Amino acid sequence: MVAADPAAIRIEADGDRGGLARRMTLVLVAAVLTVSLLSLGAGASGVSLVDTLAALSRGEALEPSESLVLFQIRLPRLVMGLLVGAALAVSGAVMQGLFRNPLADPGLVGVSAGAGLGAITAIVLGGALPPALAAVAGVHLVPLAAFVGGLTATLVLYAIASRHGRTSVATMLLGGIALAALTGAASGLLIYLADDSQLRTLTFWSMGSLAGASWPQLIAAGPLMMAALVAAPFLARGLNGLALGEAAAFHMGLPVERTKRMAVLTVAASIGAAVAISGGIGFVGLVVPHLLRLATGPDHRRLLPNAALLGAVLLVLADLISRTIVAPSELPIGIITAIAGGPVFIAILLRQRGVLDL
Amino acid sequence: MSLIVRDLCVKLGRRDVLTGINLTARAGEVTAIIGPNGSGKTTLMRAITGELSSTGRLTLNGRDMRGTAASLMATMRAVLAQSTPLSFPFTVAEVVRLGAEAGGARNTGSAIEQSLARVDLAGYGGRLFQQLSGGEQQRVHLARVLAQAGPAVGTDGPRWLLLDEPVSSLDIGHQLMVMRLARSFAAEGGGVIAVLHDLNLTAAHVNHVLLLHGGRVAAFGTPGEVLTAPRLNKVYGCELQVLPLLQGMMVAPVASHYQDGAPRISTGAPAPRPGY
Repeated sequence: MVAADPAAIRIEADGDRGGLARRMTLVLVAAVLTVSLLSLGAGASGVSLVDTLAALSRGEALEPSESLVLFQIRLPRLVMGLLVGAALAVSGAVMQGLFRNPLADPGLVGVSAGAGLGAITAIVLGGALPPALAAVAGVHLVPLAAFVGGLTATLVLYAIASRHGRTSVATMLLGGIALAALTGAASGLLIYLADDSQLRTLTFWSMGSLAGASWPQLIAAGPLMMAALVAAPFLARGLNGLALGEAAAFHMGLPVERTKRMAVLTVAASIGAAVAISGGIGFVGLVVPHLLRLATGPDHRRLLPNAALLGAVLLVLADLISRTIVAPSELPIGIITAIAGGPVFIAILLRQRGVLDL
Repeated sequence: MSLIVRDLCVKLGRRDVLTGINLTARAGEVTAIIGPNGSGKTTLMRAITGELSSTGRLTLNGRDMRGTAASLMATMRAVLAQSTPLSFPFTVAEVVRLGAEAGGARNTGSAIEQSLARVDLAGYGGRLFQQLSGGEQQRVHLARVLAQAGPAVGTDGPRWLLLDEPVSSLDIGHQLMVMRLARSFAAEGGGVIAVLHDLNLTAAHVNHVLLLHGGRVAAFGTPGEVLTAPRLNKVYGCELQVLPLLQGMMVAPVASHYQDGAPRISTGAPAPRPGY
């Protein structure tokens, strides 16, 4: 659609894809608005957005049940979908920039598993905290613990995979598998120790869904995700330089160490918060940046904001499908993202072998 | 204005890689660093760029390099590393743009175009970097470095090009093109330091040569002073002859059948001029 525009082709010829990326941003903003309206209007209860808006415009008060469905169920779920989708996609793009590799998805290399271990630790052992401390942490305890878990996993992985400013892809993927296995074992141990009510909490949490979305949950995890989304654009120049390796980035005067530290914090915060409220939703962080790099190029100044928008669109869309396709029941959203993401992952692998040139 | 290295030492682990290096490279000249494999050429370059930690003094245009912020250094000197990996599908123009932005170019569009034209890649802006040949990729990185350096003399003094083996994967035509670029950058008032392997390019195109051997300076001077057969034979551990040309000189190996057979040419004495 964008490529058919003759102006876009002319821009391509001199290698500047900035205009293309700006048009992509406009398209994505429109897409966010569209899926948001669709998502608010659809659901098992049969409350229609058109009817509701018509009623509001006539000055009529909403039925209490309609108001409940719209403002306490669908709206927080929509906001959570937008935030989690944006956070997952941006952290995927940042992580891939940091590791200089398109396969570095937080879900694949153990960062989500680390965040999950943090969340499980908080759920199972949180009761053992001194009451004063628990009161201070409050609803933020689980997201913060997930943040710490994700941060630790990211730091360990970087230490394993990176030497002298170069990242070994094989080491990164294998190290990620080992990391995920270790954190999985620790999580299993904690689940073994959990009592019945903790187990119920854990089960709901681990289903990986936006179904439990509520305003208190958003208040707990939203700030971390927002912080990461706000920080991400400041990483763009540094990540662009890192694409040429740490030495070249340093020669070009970019703050290499600061970029690396900020990137690790950003990924840990957004993955920690996203995992804490939605369980592990895979592949968004892998697919979104990859598609955007193909369409408008790898310049992180365009890639990061566009990834936030496309991630939000795709996750809300996946959530819409998950709760309408077998209504009134729901499919776990992770199944939808995996069906979409698995083939893309395989395509990247094939492409790296030089077999399939996408 | 010059780049001055005083008593520079580099240790990697417990091993002394460079010991007591002194070098004064002047703006307006091309200075070459030569030496056998493992003599410390790249290590010296990486110490000068600040990538490796070292002891001793490093000054550029009268400014202590170690105390200068990386972002300011990026506007005073541009560095071409021996190899630069690229991770994502950037176009050629996007790669060169990174350099233009680092050097603070005001009009990045024209800086990109001019730099590409100077390395004989005009019209390549829209190509994907990863689909180019090795030699073309090396020239794209050179264009990126030229875009970062900008004009040879800025408002704050001469700019510097630090090039580590800039011609290693180029054909002879493009090798000469790169040497001409270096010379014209110097002629316009900028400074160039290049690590080179080719002794004939060194003899023909640079003003001063630093010859490294085992992490120490074996000689420093003009090519005529440094490139003598006895010294080269000692440092490189092989038999070379230095032939005077109508303009300059030429370094050539002594062919092995001369070494084994009768008509052996003395490596120390000047050989007859070609054409006689």
